[in-house]
Amino acid sequence: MSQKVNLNELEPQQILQFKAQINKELDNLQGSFRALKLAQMKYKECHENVQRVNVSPNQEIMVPLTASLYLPGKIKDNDKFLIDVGTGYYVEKSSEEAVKFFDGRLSKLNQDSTKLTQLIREKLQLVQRVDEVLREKLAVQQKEIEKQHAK
Amino acid sequence: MSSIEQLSKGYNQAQSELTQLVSSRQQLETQYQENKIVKEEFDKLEDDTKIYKQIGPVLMPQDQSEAKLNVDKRLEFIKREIDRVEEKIKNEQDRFAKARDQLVSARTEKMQQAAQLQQASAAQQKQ
Repeated sequence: MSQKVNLNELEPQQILQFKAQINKELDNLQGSFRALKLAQMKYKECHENVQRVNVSPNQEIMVPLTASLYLPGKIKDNDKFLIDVGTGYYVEKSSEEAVKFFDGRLSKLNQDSTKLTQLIREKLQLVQRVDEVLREKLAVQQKEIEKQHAK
Repeated sequence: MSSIEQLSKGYNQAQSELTQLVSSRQQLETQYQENKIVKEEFDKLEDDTKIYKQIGPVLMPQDQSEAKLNVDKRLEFIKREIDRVEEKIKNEQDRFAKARDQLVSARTEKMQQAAQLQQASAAQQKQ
């Protein structure tokens, strides 16, 4: 972490501000993490579906024409998949290539999610430390107030 | 008061413009990354692999070289946009810092004036 500010030198209010900022970052990171998990699930589903279609030829399926209209169909060629590679482009791949494609994406997502988990853990630890300092500060302040009252 | 009000208005405006610019910068970055992934994918393709482009609900077959060219062009375009927005952000940051400094100095001045007035009236009361 690049911040070299000594927490002990800050006023409680500043510490609270600092904490709010970290919590905001943490929220962002956790949002990204959820999005990542969702993407992982989607790719896993695709991966499984490719293998399921590829086990035997001439499988029957219901083809969705709209969200509420289906047509019975047969899979004519179970070794030709069209994969969305992003920005509206679809690429034709054999089942082997498709599986490789999804494996690649999944392993990349796994790497990212490990990194992200590490980052989130660090931020959580930081919040904990900030909380500790804050509590100490408040305790000291409380004692001083009591001392003054005792006088 | 009116000058401080004006200054703080300018400060808020500069701040909201800066936020807007930063969010469009982030959006551009997302687009850039997505297009880069597509380009990487295209680079790995066999020469005879078929590519389709989704236009509305239809998948249109597209020439591989054409698709590659399109993605390259889009990447270049987005890069230019990023440079443009970065430049704007830099300018806006300067403006923002200036507005903030002006506001702060105006406020301190006001506070000093108030303190002087208070001292003066206190002195008068003593007399």
